[in-house]
Amino acid sequence: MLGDSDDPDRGDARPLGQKLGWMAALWLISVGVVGTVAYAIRWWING
Amino acid sequence: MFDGFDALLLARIQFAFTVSFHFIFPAFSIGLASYLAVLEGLWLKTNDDTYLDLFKYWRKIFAIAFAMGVVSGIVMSYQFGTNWSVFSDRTGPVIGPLMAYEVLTAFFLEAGFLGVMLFGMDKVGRKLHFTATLMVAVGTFISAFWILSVNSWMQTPTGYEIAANGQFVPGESWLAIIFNPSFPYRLVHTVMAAYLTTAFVVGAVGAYHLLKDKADHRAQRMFSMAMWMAALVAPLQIFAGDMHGLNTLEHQPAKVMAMEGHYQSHPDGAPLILFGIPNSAEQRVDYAVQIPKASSLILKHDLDAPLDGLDTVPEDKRPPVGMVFWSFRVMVGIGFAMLGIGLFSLLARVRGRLYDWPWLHRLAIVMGPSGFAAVIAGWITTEVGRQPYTVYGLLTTADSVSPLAAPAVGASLVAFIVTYFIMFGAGTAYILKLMSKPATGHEEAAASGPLRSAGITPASADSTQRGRSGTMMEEGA
Repeated sequence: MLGDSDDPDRGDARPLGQKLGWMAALWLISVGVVGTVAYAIRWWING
Repeated sequence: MFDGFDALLLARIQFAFTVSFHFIFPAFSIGLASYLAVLEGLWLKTNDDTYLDLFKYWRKIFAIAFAMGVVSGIVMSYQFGTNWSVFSDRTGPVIGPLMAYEVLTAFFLEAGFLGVMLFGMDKVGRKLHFTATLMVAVGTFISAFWILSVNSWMQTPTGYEIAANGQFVPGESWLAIIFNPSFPYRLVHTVMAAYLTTAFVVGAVGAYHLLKDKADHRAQRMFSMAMWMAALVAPLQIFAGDMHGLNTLEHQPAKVMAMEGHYQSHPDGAPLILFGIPNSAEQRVDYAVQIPKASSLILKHDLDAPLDGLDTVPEDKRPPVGMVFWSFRVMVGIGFAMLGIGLFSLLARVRGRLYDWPWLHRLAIVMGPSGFAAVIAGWITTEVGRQPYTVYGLLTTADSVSPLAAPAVGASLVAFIVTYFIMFGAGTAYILKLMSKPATGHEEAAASGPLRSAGITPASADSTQRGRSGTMMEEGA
């Protein structure tokens, strides 16, 4: 699952802007996932 | 169903249950995040792919442990509102901001950069990926910093004022709240406990695979790193624990009396009770095995120093002795067993048998979960020892609970027990499954490729074709 996209050379070869863009995108998605989980639990407890 | 029960007791059981489940995961992930940062840093520094293989192996396990830690932690923060609303209302102006920092850290540093750590290697490159791993490691530490500051303030409250409406509000300086008297000791003791917990899990996994194949170089590397941690950190942890105990004696003497089983005062030197059965009804420890005056020596550094007992504390202000007495001994016992393993590993290292001493490996496997038992035992010691207060000396547990009916608390407790055992049981089983497999690297992945291809296209699955595929893969690698 995690190992398939683990080629650091491919990452190093990207332009800096693209690397930073991916960094920001992955960061935002991760925070969004945890936020969604938090709201789901809140909804479950309040329900 | 819960009509005859006490709502306060059920709320306490619920919090104890959820916090015990929760504590298992950060105790593991705090240490594992740092371990991952060390592995990736060593890989970048040395270019040794063994470190990268180990990084990938433990990263999967970290992701699952972290997810379970976040979910169980969120439930706990909501519980402050549902079951402990009076506590939240009274202490919110002081502990609310600190807990908010903890949540912000968990969301924006740990969880945010975890996504980059898991999925970003081929997208952001080595340096940014290592930055993300460091952010996760630093995030877990900062998270621990804030939550332990909150807990320590509840144990040794300072820097507050009490408003006209009865609320605790910040005084002149937040620093007095954050760096309250027990915080530095608790932070050091708890974070080192997390590092040791992780070290013993990593050591057990390494030992398990060494018993199967003592030439497995990845198992050797993880076992060696874990045993260095055990040998170096276990004695430091015992020293830190002693310092924490002395701090507790200064600020929460009743807790230490319960830990020591000192029902009576000892004006001419108190004995160290190693084992015994606390008998609170008779205010004595039955069948006590004790060393005369040793408790005074440890706690006051003087054989004849007087030590007060619980007879100096009003009955309604005493913590439950039995639970604190036993949990303290479990924690200390495990700590010394960890030290023993660390010393055993040093002996094996000196003799050149670190990877070839099955008894060491078997003991390391047995000690694998010991860190979890120790942190929970330590947690019970400090939290039950704080009773009957939530904010020590100022707000009782009985005055902190929400005005809830027992059936409501009981029903949610049952729901939590069922859900937790299913969800976290499945997660833990999956982690154990991952651990049971050896860490693999590029060469194994390459070797397994052609065999899978042959399975998909049976026509080319004769021995000649497989041999050629394998050769081509080796050349390609």
